[in-house]
Amino acid sequence: MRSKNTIPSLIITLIAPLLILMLVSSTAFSVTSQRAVESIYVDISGYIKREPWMRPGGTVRVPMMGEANTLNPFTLTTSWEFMIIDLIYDTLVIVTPDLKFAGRLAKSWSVSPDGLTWTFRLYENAKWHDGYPVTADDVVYTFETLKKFANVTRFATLAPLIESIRAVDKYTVEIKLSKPYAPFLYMIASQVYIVPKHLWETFGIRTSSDMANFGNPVPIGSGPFVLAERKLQQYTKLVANPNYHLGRPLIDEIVFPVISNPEAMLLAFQKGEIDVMTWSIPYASIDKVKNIPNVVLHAVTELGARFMYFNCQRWPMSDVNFRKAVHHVIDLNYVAATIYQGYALPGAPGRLPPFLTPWYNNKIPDKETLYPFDLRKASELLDKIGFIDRDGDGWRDAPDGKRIKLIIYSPVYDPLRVRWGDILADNLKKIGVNVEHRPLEWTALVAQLKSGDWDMLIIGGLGSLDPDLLYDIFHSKGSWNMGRCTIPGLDELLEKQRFETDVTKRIELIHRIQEIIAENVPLLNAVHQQFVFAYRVDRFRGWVTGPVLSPDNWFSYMNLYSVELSKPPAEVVTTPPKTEIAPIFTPTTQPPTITTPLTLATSPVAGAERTWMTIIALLAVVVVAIVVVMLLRRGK
Amino acid sequence: MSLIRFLVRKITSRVLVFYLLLTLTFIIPRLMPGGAFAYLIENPNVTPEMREALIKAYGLDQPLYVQYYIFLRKLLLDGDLGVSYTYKRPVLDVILEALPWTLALVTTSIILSFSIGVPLGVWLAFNRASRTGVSVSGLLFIIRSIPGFWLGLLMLIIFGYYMGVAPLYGAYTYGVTYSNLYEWLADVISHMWLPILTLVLLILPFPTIYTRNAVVDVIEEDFVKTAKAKGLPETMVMLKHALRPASLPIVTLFALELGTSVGGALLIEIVFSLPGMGKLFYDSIYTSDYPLLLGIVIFVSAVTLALITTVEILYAIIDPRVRIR
Repeated sequence: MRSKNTIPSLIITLIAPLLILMLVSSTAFSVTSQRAVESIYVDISGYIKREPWMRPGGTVRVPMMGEANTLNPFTLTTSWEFMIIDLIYDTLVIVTPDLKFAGRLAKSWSVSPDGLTWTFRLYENAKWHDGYPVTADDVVYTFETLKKFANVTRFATLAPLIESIRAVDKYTVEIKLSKPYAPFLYMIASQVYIVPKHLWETFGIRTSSDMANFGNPVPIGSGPFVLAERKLQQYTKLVANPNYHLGRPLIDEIVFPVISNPEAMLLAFQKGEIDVMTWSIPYASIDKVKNIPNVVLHAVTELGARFMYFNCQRWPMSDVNFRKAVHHVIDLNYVAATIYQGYALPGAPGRLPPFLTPWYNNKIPDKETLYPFDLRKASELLDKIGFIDRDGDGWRDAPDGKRIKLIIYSPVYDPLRVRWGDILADNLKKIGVNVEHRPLEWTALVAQLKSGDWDMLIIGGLGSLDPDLLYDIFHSKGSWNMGRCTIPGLDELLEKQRFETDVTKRIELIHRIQEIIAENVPLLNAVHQQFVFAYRVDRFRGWVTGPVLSPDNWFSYMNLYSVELSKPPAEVVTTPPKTEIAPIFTPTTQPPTITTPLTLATSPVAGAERTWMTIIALLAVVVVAIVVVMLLRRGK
Repeated sequence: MSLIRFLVRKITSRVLVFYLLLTLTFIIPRLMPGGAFAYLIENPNVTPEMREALIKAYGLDQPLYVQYYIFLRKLLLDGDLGVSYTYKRPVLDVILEALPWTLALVTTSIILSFSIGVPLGVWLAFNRASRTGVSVSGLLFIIRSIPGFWLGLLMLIIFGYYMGVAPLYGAYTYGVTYSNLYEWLADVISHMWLPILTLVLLILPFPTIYTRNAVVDVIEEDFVKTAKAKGLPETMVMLKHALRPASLPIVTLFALELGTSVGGALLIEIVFSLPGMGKLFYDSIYTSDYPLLLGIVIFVSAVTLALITTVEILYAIIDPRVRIR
C-alpha cells in the first residue's frame, strides 16, 4: 500500500493513504483477561525522554503526498489527515511502540471485573489550546457525538457497544458497554480524539450531513502541537504547545510540505531537504539510499497481507479442491524472493503473520510444504472435481458441460500484485483453465468487489494485532468475508474466541481456527509485505520506531531534539545507528529454476542507473538527429 | 451593421458552445469507472449507513435530470459551483486560491516562450536553408515530442539533485516568515525558475514553428522583395515587413495557449510539487471530487472562450476582412 513503483504510483497517491488508515484503524489489540490487561498498562513517561543537555528548538520537515482535506477528527479518512490530527488532538490512551497501553489524556483507568464498566481518570493539568481545562464533560460530549453521528463517522462498530457514558466528577468519566468487547481499549486509543465541548457546541452540527461536511478549519485540541498555518496544496505548519500536560515537545515546529511526486520526495530526502520519508521507498532504491550518511532505514512488516479472495458463491471457487489447485499453481517463495525482492514473507496458510505471537500457530507448515508448487498435482485436483475439458476446445468445462471462463481482478496501481496475478493466470491456463487476469483502477476494483460479480480478486491489507480480525474475514457473516465462504465448524470457533476471557484457551481456539483455514483455504494468502521507511539523523535525533510503527508518529515528535542546539556531554555522544537492513526473506531452498513460472523474472534496474540511462538515451537521440540533419544538408 | 451582426453571431455561437461544454462536463464524470462519488462511497472504510447518508447529503439519490437541473440553475443563476467533496469548501474559493500560482507559472512561461519563440521563428524563416537553422528546427521538433512529465523529472534530477541549483519541491520555502516582500519574491523566483524553464521548453516549439511557417508564407511576397530591393537592413525587413502580416494569427495562438497551458501546467505542478489549478484538477480526478472537477473545467473553458471571443472581436474591429468571412 505504501509501496510505490514509478509513474503509476502517482495514481494511487491519493488512494493509498486510505488503505494505510484502514490497516491502522483495523489494528485491534486484545484485552482478553484482567491479568494480561494489567501487564500491558505502562506509564507514558517512560516513552518521553528528556536529558538536561537537550535544548528546545528547530523545525522538522515531514512530507505529505496528498492534502489533509479535513481536520475533523470524527471523519478523518487519509493517513495525511491522521498525521496532523493525531498531533493536535489527544486520545484517552495511546498504543506504545512496543504495543502496550499508556495514558495520554487519561492519567489512569480501570475496568470492572465483568469487563463492562470502564473508568478513566483525566490529567488535571490538561488544557485546550485556547486555555480552557480539559474536563470529563468534554469526554462525555465526544462520546455522545460519536454515538449520535455513528453513521457518518468511523465509529459504526464502536458506537453500538457504548451503552452509556457519564461524568463522575470533573475529571472522572465512566463508560458502560453493552457487552464485554476485547478490542475496546485499542479502539479508543487509535480512533477517539477528544474534542472541546465549549467550541463544538457552537459549530451548529445538527444533522449527519452537517457532520460529514464539517472540515474543522480551525482545530482547537489539547495535543502537543497547535495548528499555526495551513496553505492549500502548499504546507501545513504546527508549532509546539508550550502548555502540553505531558511536557512541551523539544522541537519548535513541524512543517508538512505537500510533495506530490514520490520521486521528488525521495530525492528531497536524499538531499536532506526533508527529514523523514512518509512514503515507502521502492525496493530498487534501497541499496542506494542505505549508503547515504546520516540516513537510517526502518522496515515495517504489515500485519495484514497481499491476498486473493475466492468467490465461494460460484463454482468452481466454491470447491475446496479448486482452491487448493490454485494454491498449487504458484510458488510463494518465488513470489516473495523475486517479485518482492525478499522484502516480504510468504503468506501463512492460516492468515496470521508468523511474527504475531502468541496467536500465530507455528505448527502449521508453510504453504510450499502444504500445497507445493506442482502443476500436475493441481491438474489432478481439477480432474477429481469433474472440472475437465468436455467439448474439446482445450479449456476445462463444468460437469454439466457449461463452459467456464474465470476472471482474476487485481489493482492496476501495484505492479507487484499484478505480476503474481499474471503468474496465477498463466499457470492456470497451462493446466487448461480458461482464465483472464484483468487489473483494474482502484475505485473500479472496489466497486467490483462490492458488487459480488467476480471470480477471484487480488487485494491487500486487513491487519490487526488482535486475532479477532479473523472473525471479520472468515466468519460466514464477517464484514470482510467478501467471497462469502462458509467453512464448516469455523463460525462457532470464531464466535467463541471473541468472548473467551482465558488467554490460554483463546490461544488454543485461535490456533485451531488457523488449522481449519489452512485446510480449507478460503483465500490465497500470498505475502506479508514489508514497507521500508527512512529518517535522517543529521538535523534531529530521538526518532522512535516500532515493529509496526513507521518513524513519523506521535512518539517521534515528542522525542525529537535538534542536533545543532543540543550538545550532549562527551560521554553520551553516540554514533547514529548504522543502517542494517536486508531482505527479511531468503528462501531456504533454491528458488525453482525450470519449473518456475516463466513470466516476468527480470529484476528492475536500480534508480540511479535508470536515470543515467535515460539521460544518455536522450543525448544519443539528439546527437543522431543533428548528424542526420547535417548529412542531409551536405547531400544537397 | 455587419459588425453588429458579426458580434451577435459570434457571441451566440460561443454561448452555445459553452452550454454544450457544461452538459458534457456534467455527464462525463458520471461515466467514470467506479461511478459518481466513488472516492467517498466506495471507500472500504465507509459503512453502508454512512454511504446512504452521504449519497443523500450530496443529492446523488435524485434522478439524473433533477441533478442536471439543479446543477444548471445553481451555476447560471447563483454563480454557485457547489461545495468540494474533499475540501468541504465552496469550489470557487478553492479555485481562486490556487489560481494565482498557475497564472504566475503559465503567463510567465507563455510570455517568455513567445518573446523567445517569435523572433526565433522569424530568424528561422530567413535562415531556413542554413545548417544551423535546420538543426535548430530539428531540435525544436525533438523537444516538442518529449513528454512533459519526463522532461520535468529529468530537469529535477539534473538541476535539483545532481547540480543542486534548484530546490526539489514547492513554490517557496515552506513555513518561514519573510521580513519583506522582496525576500519572499526572491525565494519564489529561486523555486520557480526551474518549472518555468521546463514549461518554456515545452511551449517554445509552438510559437517558433508557427511564426516560422507564417513568415515563410509571406517571405516570397513582392512587398518583401521590394523592401529588400530598397536596401533596407535585414532586421528591418524581418520585423517590419515580414512579421507584421504574420502577427495576427500569432496573437490568437497566444490567447489559445493561455487557456490550454493549464493542461501543460498540470504535469509541471505535479512533478515540482507546486500549488495550482493543474494540481487541483489532477487531485479532483483521482478523488472523483465532481464539483471541483466540473468547477475547474467550467472555469478554464469559460476563460478560454472569453479570451478567444475577445480576440476575434478585436480582429473584426481592426480588420474588416474578418467580418465578411
